[in-house]
Amino acid sequence: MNVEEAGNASAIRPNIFQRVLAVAACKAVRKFLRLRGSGGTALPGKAAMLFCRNILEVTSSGMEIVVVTGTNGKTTTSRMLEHAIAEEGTCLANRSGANLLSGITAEFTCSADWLGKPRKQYAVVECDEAALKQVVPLLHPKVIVVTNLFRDQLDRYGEVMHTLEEIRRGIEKAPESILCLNADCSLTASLADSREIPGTDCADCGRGSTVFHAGPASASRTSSPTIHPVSSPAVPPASCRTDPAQKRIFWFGLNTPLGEQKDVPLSDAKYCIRCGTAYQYRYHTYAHLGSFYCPACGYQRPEPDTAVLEILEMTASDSRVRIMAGGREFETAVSLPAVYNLYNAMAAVCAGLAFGLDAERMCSSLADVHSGFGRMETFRLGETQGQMILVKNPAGCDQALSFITNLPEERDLYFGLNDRTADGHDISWIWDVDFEKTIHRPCIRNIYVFGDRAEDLRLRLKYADVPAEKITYLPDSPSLLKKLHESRLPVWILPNYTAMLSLREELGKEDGMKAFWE
Amino acid sequence: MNAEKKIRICHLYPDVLNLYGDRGNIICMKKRLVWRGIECEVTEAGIGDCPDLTQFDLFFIGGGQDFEQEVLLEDLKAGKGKEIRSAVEDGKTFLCICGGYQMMGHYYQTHDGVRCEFLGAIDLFTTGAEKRMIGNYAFTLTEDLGSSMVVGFENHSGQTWLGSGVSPLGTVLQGNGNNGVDRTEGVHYKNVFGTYSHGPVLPKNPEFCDRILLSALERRYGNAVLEPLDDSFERSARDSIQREMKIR
Ligand SMILES: [Zn+2]
Ligand SMILES: [Zn+2]
Repeated sequence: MNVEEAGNASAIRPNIFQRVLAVAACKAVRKFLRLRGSGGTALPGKAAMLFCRNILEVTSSGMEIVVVTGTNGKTTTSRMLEHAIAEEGTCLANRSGANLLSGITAEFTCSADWLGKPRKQYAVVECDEAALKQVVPLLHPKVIVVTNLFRDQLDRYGEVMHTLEEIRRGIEKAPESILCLNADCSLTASLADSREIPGTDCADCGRGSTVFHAGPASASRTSSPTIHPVSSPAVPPASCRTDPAQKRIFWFGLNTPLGEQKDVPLSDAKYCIRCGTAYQYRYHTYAHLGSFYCPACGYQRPEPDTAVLEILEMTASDSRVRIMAGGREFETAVSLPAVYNLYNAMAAVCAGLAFGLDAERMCSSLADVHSGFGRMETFRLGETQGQMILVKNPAGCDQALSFITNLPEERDLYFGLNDRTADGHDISWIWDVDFEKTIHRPCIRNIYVFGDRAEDLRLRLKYADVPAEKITYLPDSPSLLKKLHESRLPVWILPNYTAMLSLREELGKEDGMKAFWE
Repeated sequence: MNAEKKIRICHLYPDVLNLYGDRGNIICMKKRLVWRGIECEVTEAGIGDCPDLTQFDLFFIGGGQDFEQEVLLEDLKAGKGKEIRSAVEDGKTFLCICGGYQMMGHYYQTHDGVRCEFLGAIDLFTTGAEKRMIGNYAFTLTEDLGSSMVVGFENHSGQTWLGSGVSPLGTVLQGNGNNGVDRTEGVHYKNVFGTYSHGPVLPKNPEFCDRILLSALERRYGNAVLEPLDDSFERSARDSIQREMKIR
């Protein structure tokens, strides 16, 4: 049976026997796998779907749900949201990279009672971009967050435009959900189209209304977004002053420039998605993110509702920022470092507001959130300490490197690269990482490479002019663990997904770290 | 020996044809020249840029996204297309990857019959297939090119068919290559090297890279020698893929 079609089966109401069997199968398979020491999350879900294809719709019914998707920052954003929502009531969240239909089904089904009735009020669901269209018709989420779009694991989807279309299809299958979109990402922002149905919504202000107005009419108001095809009927903007409670799209972003203000050589979105003209930027933040606008058709960054207004301080472990949320200003700490976590924080606050949480509570919960699974974690290594950041695409890796190489003290750097299915088999993205810019900074002492494709990494570093004697190839996990434990300097590890899982497992065996599925 | 030699590379459409780490090929060609004391200058020519193409020795064209290809075709029609065709006939060296390779042919016909006219610089054409050809693959270069093995990563749904007078770049050992049918991979026409291989292809296949550089040096300086480099990292990266594919 093809479980991927389950999303289309939501019309069929399962009978009680199917439900009970599905729940039992899910729980039994999970228990069996755990006894064998495996954290597998797909199989229990598949077992449940064998008995009842749309069991997820049953085991999530009546819950209020936020779904988080996008290329980077899904996990961290989800953890921040979960942290805030858990203060309101019981909250379910999927973990361990269980972000496909089968994994999400397993999380909900195992958490339900034996009749398939949910035991929790809320859920924060991290969802793979391509799985969105199967998952949301069953979950009926209140809010869908799209964090950003970058090139990633290309052979899984083909291209970034293809991924965007996958997300669009998902969003279209949940017309009742409120969208939280990254205003600084021209690709993500274009998803507002899917709420721009003549006669129902106004995409310009995001509010439900009976009409929507045209680009030229709003182009004169510089502060307001213009996200209409030029050909749409011209209706005065006044027509969309409707109840703010009906707001359908919430925007987040950074209202402040960051880094060098010059064009990115390898932009994932250089040309206007509407008309093909090269974008201009009022300012950049990182990669293709920033205040973009198209000089030809007027497509431009929408004005965000939730935004960082000013970065007051940024250190190795956190930042202090002034932000705007829910029409008010707050000064708050974000207890995670680096710029990309500011985007994650804004996504979380924005989604919290859309979900109905209070802006002030959302902001204060940012100060005590800890990093998402694997995204940045700290552990002790004998004499010294290790930090791990998951990297899986050029934009994320460049961000991690620029963050690490800007810290003052000396350190050793470990890169882990696998090419297994969960990584996307294509690892060519390492050639799009701008190692040349960061890797030569003096704070990097030794570089170690490990994983199935460590030799490719070593080659990449050679062509970035890293001297051969500075790079050590670690062929297997015993040699990796030995080197880690011998380290005198602080260690930073940048693994991709399955390289991170294996390392974590190895470290866990030694130090009794929590198994990753807990 | 190489004193004062210089190769001018033109990276065509880096703004739209820049998928899958293909710029690694530029990094690789440049370093392998510089390590041998040969100067190398890379110029980017994107949409709307019109540098004089006759000044370059070597052209690189990568693969791209469908969405942006339309913008590109218009730019080709606006003039660069003609210049590229004459550079090909003039014996200039080209390395064209995937979409860039297809673009050198007559046309691309999609699965549902929509035809997109391309440059027509080389007698070949591409048809859209239903199944996508994805994965590590390997081929041997033709005898002319030294018969060495090349490993790469292919990811295309187009099937490319060579005209009768045009020779392939090599013979597929494992994977699909041009079309998954006739075991040919890529094209070698005059000094044009077209291939489906991403990865990027050159860093792990230094013999292939040097063969391309040599053709550009010979065209400019009449004769040229490339002294050997220490390619142990290159070889071990290639060997690990070869082991994974269980070749030999
Ligand atoms: Zn435009
Ligand atoms: Zn390709």
